[in-house]
Amino acid sequence: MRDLWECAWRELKRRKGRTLTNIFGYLLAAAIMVVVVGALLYSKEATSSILNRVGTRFIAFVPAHIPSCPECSAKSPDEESEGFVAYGVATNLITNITNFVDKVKKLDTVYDASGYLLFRFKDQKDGHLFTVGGFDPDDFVVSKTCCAAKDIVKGRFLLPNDRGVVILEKAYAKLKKLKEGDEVTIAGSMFSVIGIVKPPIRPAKAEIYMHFDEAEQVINKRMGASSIHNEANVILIEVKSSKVQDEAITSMKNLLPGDYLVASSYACYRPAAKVMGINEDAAWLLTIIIGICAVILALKSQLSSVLERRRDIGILKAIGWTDGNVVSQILAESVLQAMIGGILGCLVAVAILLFVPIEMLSGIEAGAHIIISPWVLVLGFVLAFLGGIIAGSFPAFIAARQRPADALRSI
Amino acid sequence: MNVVDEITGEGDIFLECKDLRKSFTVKRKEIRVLRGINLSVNRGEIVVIAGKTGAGKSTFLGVLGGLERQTEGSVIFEGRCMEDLSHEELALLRRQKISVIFQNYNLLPSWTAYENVEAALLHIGMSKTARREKVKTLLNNLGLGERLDNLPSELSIGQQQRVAIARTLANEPALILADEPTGELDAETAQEIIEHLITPVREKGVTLVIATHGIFPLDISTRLFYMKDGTLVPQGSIQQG
Ligand SMILES: Nc1ncnc2c1ncn2[C@@H]1O[C@H](COP(=O)(O)OP(=O)(O)OP(=O)(O)O)[C@@H](O)[C@H]1O
Ligand SMILES: [Mg+2]
Repeated sequence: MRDLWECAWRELKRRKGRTLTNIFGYLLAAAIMVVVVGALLYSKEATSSILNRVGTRFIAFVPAHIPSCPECSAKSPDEESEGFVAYGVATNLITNITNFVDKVKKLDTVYDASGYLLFRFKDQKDGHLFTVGGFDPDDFVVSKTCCAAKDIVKGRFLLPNDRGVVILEKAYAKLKKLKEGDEVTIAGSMFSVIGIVKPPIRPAKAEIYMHFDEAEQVINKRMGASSIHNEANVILIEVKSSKVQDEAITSMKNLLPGDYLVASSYACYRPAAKVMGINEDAAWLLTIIIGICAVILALKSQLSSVLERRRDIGILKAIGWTDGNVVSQILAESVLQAMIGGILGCLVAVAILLFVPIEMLSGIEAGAHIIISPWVLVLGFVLAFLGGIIAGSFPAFIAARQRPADALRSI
Repeated sequence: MNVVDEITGEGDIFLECKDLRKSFTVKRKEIRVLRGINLSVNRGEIVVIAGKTGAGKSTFLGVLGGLERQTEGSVIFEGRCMEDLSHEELALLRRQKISVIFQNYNLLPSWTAYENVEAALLHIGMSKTARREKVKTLLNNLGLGERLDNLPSELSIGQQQRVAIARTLANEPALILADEPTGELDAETAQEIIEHLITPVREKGVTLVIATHGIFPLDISTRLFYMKDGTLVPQGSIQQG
């Protein structure tokens, strides 16, 4: 066995130019493959880290047009424009909300959930519509779906013991020319503005935010006879990762028998995942094409080397080398080149992945970092090895088929 | 083992050809090269086959060495019909028993003298050190101890031929087929080469079949044939006549 490799190595050293060309071919193919796979893994991680920022939360509610929903109640004040809303549609209320939220929180896929009141009022003075959001500022999910302390641009965020205070969405404050310290009247109750927020895109935004129980109170004032108690029209949900969002939505819907719950803000993340980052199929195609080219190149060069050595092979056969000996010799040469090329290619790829900003290559900048998986390196090496066998097989077959007498006569 | 007894021993047929025929078909035209050769060779004999160029000497040796298949007839080597052997078995036979020296192209041009001789000892499970020892001894005996690392192109024709002989002897064959081993050599060098070839015959009872187109010291042969019209015409042995 050792003789075989030594002999192959000797032969390769003799044909330096050809050997180096072949090795370079394998090097290129292996390096490109490893880099592409590395960039692909990076792009996947980057994509999911971006999606994790936007794709892990949604809100659920029961639209008002659905009649006879169990565990729901349809309540609304007289006027058309006022009432419980979500995404601009009128909603029903989910009764016994604390119990329901507890059930949602127990789902494996759910990280946090909370009941939320989102009610649209009509300003008695100017007739403008505005929404009031009532939440528990302690709940984590609130910071992901409505607004958070870090979104404050003026003043401060709601504290658990605050009473009679609200915070305003910046656009609304601007429209109404309100500042922190000013007063707003909602359904006849006075609230003082303690902060202005400017949250990014969130699914459950309102114009005025306040404590859940105070929201309940002002809503009840407006509702008159049909007051609400332990009810909410929206559930805010944060899932554990964007990958399980579908699962979370399905299991959450099952908690309320019948297809009543509507989950929102999730349909957009899938197409987003598709356009973000490197196109995976194209990357694989490219890698495969380069791999095939490298193998064809090596095959061609091995073949012409075998044809050049026609007489040599004839002599070796004439002095007692079997067809098997000749085949293993040619294969060993091919595989040796492939292995050297494969190893060098992996090294080059690692260097590229470490020193070239792959963020540029994949078109995404995100908190993700390059992963050089040892498996990718093993794969690169194994594929180079297989390439060597494939490239060597046909020339070896040609060499084995050659009869010594024919080879020796041609002089 | 008494070598002389073997040479003269009548019944010990080592190599036998029976109505051996070989033809080539080129562009649908049949070229009949060997047209019924009958020959029995005893162990330790030196058989010289002379003949004009194109007579079919090389073809004949090729068939004897299993490099080429005959069209008809049979070659029996040590009691075994060579036409029944597979390519693999023929290769093993050449590795162990039959050595061939070619007319022109004997050595691998990119391999050194050492490597060319060693080639015959690869794949037989011999250790590297044993191989080295053997190759060095062989080349030393042929006066090439200093030229181990030379490529064939760096050697004279005579030296190249000696390397080929060293390789031939490496396997300690029972039969050596030499096709024009002295073809392009001056008389003196040719004589040397022949000495090297017949030494194993004298010492180890090796059988030697030599093809030549005439300028060959025929006096060493035990039997001489002239190849004509694809058959062997016995010329008697020079020693006898
Ligand atoms: N593969 C082949 N195809 C066709 N014809 C062949 C083939 N091999 C040999 N011949 C023919 O067989 C004949 C004998 O050739 P061979 O080489 O055996 O002659 P030779 O006696 O060795 O001649 P020389 O003394 O010149 O070496 C020639 O006419 C040659 O053209
Ligand atoms: Mg000839």
